[in-house]
Amino acid sequence: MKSRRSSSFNAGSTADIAFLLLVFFLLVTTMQSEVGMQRKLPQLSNETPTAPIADHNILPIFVNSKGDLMVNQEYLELDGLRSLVKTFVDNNKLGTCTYCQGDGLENLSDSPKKAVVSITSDRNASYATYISVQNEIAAAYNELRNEMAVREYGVEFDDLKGDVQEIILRSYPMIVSEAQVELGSAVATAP
Amino acid sequence: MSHIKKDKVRETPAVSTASLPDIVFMLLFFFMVATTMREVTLKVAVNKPQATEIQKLERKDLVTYIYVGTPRDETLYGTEPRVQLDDQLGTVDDVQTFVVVAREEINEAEQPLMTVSIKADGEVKMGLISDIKQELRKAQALKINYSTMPAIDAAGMIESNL
Repeated sequence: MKSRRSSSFNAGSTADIAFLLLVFFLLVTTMQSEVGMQRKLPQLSNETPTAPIADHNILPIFVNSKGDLMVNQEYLELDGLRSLVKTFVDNNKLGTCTYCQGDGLENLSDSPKKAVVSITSDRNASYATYISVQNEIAAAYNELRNEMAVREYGVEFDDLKGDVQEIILRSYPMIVSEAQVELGSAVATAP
Repeated sequence: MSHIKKDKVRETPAVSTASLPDIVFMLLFFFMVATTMREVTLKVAVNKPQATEIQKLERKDLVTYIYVGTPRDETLYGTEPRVQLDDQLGTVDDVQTFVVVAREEINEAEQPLMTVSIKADGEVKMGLISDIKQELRKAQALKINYSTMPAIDAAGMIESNL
């Protein structure tokens, strides 16, 4: 009888210990997972770029201090940017791009590999506006890539294998150039 | 008989607390798995902008964070947006040194993989962000990550960012 009784111990305090640990973890940890937009900055060099880019291969986007957008010398709402970037990139003016669906307009890009989206933001523009613009450009490219994946391979881009994804990524490379307007300077000329 | 009846009335059935530790431990494990440790105490208020086209940040040990926002303690630091590097408020000029020092702490083979995550408040002006980016280019830290909040749809994102 005696030995059997000693085998059970008082488990009443395990709850308190567990609560203590729980409170500790609640205090020192955060719930947010780290997500964001990955970008690569260009190398810093003093040399001026030599190869000029034709005007029709650049889509100039200007962001003013109020968060308004000007694209191709015209005022544009943010929700119209995505489709505009898509038509610009997918334009296929030269007709050399076999996977493009564009109309080959005169004033838009030669091929996706030549297309450059240029963002010029005012120093007083808000970061949130800039992120929205970057997001819409990325969304346009992602939609183009996904459309190509469905067209050529019959599945969504995310379901493709790594090397096939690489082919599509190279077919639609995201080339974004960034410039910044100094305070008070004119925004008349495209970069 | 009467004796037994009396006893029954007096005895209230106690709620068994034997499973309480198990429940709490379950909660504990959930929080241990689902959360991450806080890196630093924030001295600036950062309300990150929303975005939909986002990727998860991998390899946390290779990530260096730069926080940008208005100081929480306005009486001490004012209302102008400031840059927080580790636990201190700094200026844009400190960014280059900070990044170089942070890179030195990483294993040499993996130094090119270092990512700098910019956690900036949506209200911060682009001028400050551009200056920071320029400093990062000087420090040869070219892989960056704009830290954002996940947005459910594009329309909601645009509305919240304006």
